[in-house]
Amino acid sequence: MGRMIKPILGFKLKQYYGNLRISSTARISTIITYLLITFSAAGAAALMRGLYGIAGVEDLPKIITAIASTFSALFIFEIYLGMKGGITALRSEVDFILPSPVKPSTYLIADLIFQLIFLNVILTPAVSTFIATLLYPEEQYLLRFLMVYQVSILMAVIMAHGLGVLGVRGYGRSARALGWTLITFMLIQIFLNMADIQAGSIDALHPSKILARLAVGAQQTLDLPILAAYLAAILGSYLQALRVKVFSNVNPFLTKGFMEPSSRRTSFPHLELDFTKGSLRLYLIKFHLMRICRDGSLGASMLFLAVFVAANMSLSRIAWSSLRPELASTILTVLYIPLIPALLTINWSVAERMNLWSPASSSNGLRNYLDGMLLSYIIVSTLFAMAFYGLMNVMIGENPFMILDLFLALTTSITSSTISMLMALRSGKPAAALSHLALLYTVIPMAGSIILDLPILIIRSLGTLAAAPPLWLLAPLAAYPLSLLLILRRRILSASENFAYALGNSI
Amino acid sequence: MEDLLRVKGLWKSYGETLAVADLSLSIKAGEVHGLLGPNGAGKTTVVKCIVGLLRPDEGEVLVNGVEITSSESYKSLIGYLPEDPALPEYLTVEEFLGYLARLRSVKPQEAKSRIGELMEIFNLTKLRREFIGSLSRGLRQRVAVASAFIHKPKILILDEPFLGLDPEGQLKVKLMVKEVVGDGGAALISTHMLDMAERFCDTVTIMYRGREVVSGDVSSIKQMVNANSLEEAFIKLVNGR
Repeated sequence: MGRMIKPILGFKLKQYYGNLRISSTARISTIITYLLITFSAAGAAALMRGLYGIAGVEDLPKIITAIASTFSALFIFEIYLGMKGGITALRSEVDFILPSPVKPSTYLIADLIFQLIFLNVILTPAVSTFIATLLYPEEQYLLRFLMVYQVSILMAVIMAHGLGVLGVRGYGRSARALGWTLITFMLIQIFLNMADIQAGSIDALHPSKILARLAVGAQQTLDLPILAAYLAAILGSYLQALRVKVFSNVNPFLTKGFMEPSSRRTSFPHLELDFTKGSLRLYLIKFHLMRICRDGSLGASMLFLAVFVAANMSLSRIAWSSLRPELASTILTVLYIPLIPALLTINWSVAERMNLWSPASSSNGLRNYLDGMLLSYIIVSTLFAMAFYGLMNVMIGENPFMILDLFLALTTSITSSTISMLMALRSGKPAAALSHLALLYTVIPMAGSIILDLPILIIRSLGTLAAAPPLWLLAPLAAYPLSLLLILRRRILSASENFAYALGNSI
Repeated sequence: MEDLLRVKGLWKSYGETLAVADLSLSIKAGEVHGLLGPNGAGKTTVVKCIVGLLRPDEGEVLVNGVEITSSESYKSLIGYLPEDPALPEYLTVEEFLGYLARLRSVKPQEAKSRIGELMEIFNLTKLRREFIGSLSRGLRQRVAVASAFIHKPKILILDEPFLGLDPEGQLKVKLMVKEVVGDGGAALISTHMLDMAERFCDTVTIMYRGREVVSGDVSSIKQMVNANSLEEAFIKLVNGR
């Protein structure tokens, strides 16, 4: 078995990271991505310390909450991927390795090691910078944290694998049910923190909390035995999973991480797309809305956004601790809404790009297609922004719904949708759903939209002016998102011609 | 007769790799032209340059007398089928054909009857509500081929149209191509199925390593190298290089 693990692992690593060996552009973009993400993580932790008065390890409960939420988010991410397949096979592995006389257990162990490497490469720099900044000046705890963090990654990957194998063995429905149960369990810790509810038994039993306490040396008496029991249960189930004999229905999921696992399953089959009705623009907007519903990318984006916002609120309890909770909820909305078009665009790059020969070979087809896509993304993002903003305000008992918030939601949706799309249109090759480039695809729209939101955001932060803006101010503020839409939309449409030529190289 | 498609001095390379070198060809109305060559000859690159999916390094492509970089409107004359067509798996057969009809500016009511007609021809009527993701490779190829005819194009650019099709499907494609050509259109078919090309194409261009080896009608090419079949002529011409 051991002899076979190494070549399979080598093959997987070469496939996924092979581009770094041959392309200097890929190497440079990787370095830039890591620098950006590391600085963002340090910035986020510093902001948290400043805003909520965390002063290093002296504020252990707050730090434990922060670390527990990080672990819960990691578990949710991996459990979700587990429901989507869990085993990180690429197309060539499905075609060439899986039909070879390789024991499924050998392949699974090689994949487990690959996933540990992959998750460490993609997450560890940002997570360790975040925690080191949070713990400063007691960085000696970082080593301890990293050790516990490795245990949490191992647990997360094994859970993902377990769910994946369950699916492969024909128990797809059970795998999904178990996955959603585990996600709900992980979310409990986040929601309890969000609502500021102290639940002793859940605190004592929740794996994220136990791991977080261990990470900063604040463990309780039963933490180690309970963690050992969790590990034994997970490893025991995994050993059972390794005995799998048949290895069919494995999906190439590393590139399609957020998508529905199988092309033979389509979400929302009852949605209708009537080609005989409406103008071309309206038809294409409907087409894209249906596409993102049916291919599963809208649902996945919603889940990611919900976890992000909930984890953030849990970490900071921003809405409760801030002097102006309604402003805090606006800022959160502005910060996280760009995730929606970013994730939708990553999925589009992965799954839809190769289908573009049809609009590209039609007169003005690509131009119309991209126009419809932009407008549909703006509609979805604006609706999400308003829904999230409304939900948060209900939770904190506020009801401001200022007109400026509508302008802000619109501006954020317009800027983040266009920036995400422009990035995808200008890149020669699509970013795989689970890659460092995908991180860049999410960070840049977030940063870009915050910069372009600034004019409205500044006025929104001025209490009395925001509450009753005079007409001379309201008119330009209303014109601002519309002007941005006109300017940025033109950029998208003019990029469509070059994009058609770029497509020829990749489809 | 007028040239419906004319390619003049086409050059295209990918970095250091030369894909097409100084290729010229012309196709008249009423003509089926085969673009032949072994793997890596540059056939697909030529096809992609014609349909606007690749920008040529040098040379001109004229469709119906109009240079293709001057306007995108030439695309409404072209029915294109790529070599390995990826189809949106989240659409049903009917939705996909309707989607292409809308993109290619076919009026909705006209599109409805045209889609019905094409589904009938390609035996897809029973599958109209099936998701493309659930179809076999051969059935997907039928859907892709049908999509090339949706807007009644004047010029067909088909890259390996017979790949994955059963004999009945191949026959249907040939009949549809003949119909377009019979109505004063033209077709460029890129293939390495030489026996089919010999029977089906009026003229051919044989490519090797990006360059034209020979171009003309099938019988004169066979005569030129004293061959009994196009396959034999092809091997003689290509092996001599």
